[in-house]
Amino acid sequence: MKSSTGIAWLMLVVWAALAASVQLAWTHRIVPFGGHLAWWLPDVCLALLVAIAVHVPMRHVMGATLVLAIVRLGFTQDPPAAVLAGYGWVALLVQGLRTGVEVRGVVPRSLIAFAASLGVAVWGQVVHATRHGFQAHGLVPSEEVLAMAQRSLPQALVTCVLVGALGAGMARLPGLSPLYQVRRF
Amino acid sequence: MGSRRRGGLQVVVCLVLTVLSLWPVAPVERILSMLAWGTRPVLLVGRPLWGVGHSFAADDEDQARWEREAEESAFLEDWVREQAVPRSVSSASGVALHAEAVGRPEGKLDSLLVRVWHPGIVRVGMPVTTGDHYVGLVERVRLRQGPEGPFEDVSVQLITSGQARIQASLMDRGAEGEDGRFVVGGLLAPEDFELGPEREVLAVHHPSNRKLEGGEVFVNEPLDGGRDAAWLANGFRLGTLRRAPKPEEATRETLLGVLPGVDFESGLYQVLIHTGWTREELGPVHDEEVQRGRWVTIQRAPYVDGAPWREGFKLIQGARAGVQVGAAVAHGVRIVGRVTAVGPWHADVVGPGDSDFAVPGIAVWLHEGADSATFVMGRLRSLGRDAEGRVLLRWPATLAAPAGEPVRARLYTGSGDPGVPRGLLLGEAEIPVGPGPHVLVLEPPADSDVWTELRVFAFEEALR
Repeated sequence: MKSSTGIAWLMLVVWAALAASVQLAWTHRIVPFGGHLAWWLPDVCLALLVAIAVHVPMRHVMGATLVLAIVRLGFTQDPPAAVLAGYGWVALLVQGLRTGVEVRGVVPRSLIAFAASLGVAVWGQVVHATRHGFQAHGLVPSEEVLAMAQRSLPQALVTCVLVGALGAGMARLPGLSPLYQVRRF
Repeated sequence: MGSRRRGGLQVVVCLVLTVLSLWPVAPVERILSMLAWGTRPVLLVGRPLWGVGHSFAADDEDQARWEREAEESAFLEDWVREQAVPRSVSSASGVALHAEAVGRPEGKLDSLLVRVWHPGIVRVGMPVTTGDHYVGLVERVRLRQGPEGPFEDVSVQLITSGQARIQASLMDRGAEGEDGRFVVGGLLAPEDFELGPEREVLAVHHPSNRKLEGGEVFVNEPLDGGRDAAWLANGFRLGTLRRAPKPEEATRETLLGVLPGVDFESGLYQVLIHTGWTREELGPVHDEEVQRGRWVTIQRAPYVDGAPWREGFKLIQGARAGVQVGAAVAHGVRIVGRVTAVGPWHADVVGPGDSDFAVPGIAVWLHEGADSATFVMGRLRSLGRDAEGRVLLRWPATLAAPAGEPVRARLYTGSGDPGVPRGLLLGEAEIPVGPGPHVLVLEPPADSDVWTELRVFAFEEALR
């Protein structure tokens, strides 16, 4: 790995951590425990992941996923396996779509962000409920999953709007340009 | 590696992580949690923004409220300890040692782990009681060394254990109780007695008289030929005798059980161990509780959890600063969370609104004229928050609250968990009456978001 690429990964950590810090510190100021307001805040690490994954060369998608998942771990109590799995499936979705569809446009990247945010939020709740609430009964029932999806809609919508409006800019944040360099043989 | 093969590998990794998320495997969890060790620098990136958090200024009213809570907490510290002392039973002569419940050995519900601060006195077979109630017999004693000196972790075989047996009688059946002698030990299905699944029913074996109807059951071990020192518990209550409405299907015999007066599952906080030793034999024993842990001032990152379905925060100090998994995190005497994961330089704390949060609880009645100022509630587990931000707690109510109208109470932590000192404030709630389980709606204390200084409890972990 070239040093410039290493610096780009470091910058990605800084940008993601800074974005999450601003959002979560302000939320803490308004409602100390998060509460219902938290469902109306975008998942900034995931928004960055979608914005970057649709733009960077395919070889960097998994790297960006791992970096952003680790940053996300810094701001949540969710188990590492669940965060890595959730972000990993989003990366695979983007990679799969990129092989046959143009995903950099406003509409496709917004739709991907919506699906990814909804999926990751439901996934996180399913893992939490399975581990703590429903251990005696196995996996959560389907009606409960529907309720989780309903609860997660505001966050998915806001994340979708964020990626649609600012996705191109988020993918080109200062310091990330080495990720876009074409490999020379 | 070809892109197709790389893609296949990524799918396999994601599948494995998905399975591990739902069905965690402890060693893999530990390895993956090392990824979180690197999150402290991530948290510190936003440090210049921490000033934008809450206004931490507390006014005179806050100070007065905190002082009142601290007084009530100190009262509870003593009250819980006094619960072990018998009220109406005159115990046999000899020294009885105070011990505090700290958990369950190897997770077994039929055993209780208690901590004794005076090593070298307790022996296997000594009886254990709480208040006027018999609890069980000592089955194992392990000497340990802490920073404040040696102590012992003592395993008690509860009377609910399938192997436990104690001779008992109905004392109101004649002066000697000869009409109503039997052996008690182990549990029966509560459904046979038309009781809810949360209720415990002790099994009655070999009754001298199967026509027994009811009454108070007491320990009655023979002084000669009995086991070890079990007779020292003579006179302590086991509970109320109950006949099953229908005979047992296999034998067609009447099923007899005893409804205990204590909650063996989660309501045992303080106990007395009856040693049988005299003061002269032991020499001077100061039965005062040694400080069972200490508080460490700690700093948190002032962020809400990034996942709206979780409630908690991160500490920017970890194991190297003395933070342990299971430790209570408090502001003053208010509990604000419990540590669930620790790395060398960071720790995860879940708040009362997260379903990972559970503590032993005590209610302090807020109305005048209650028979007792307090009530032992057992283990309270969070079910999250309601739409108004109030914490919902599941209360099994193995022993229901005293009959009457639901009344308001202030809830504090009790004993039974080594990481949580007794007397920490949870909030106020209406306590429903009748058999459980119940959901309590907990209103957090006023100004519960004003956190001037956080501290974490450092304790001696219970041996498993």
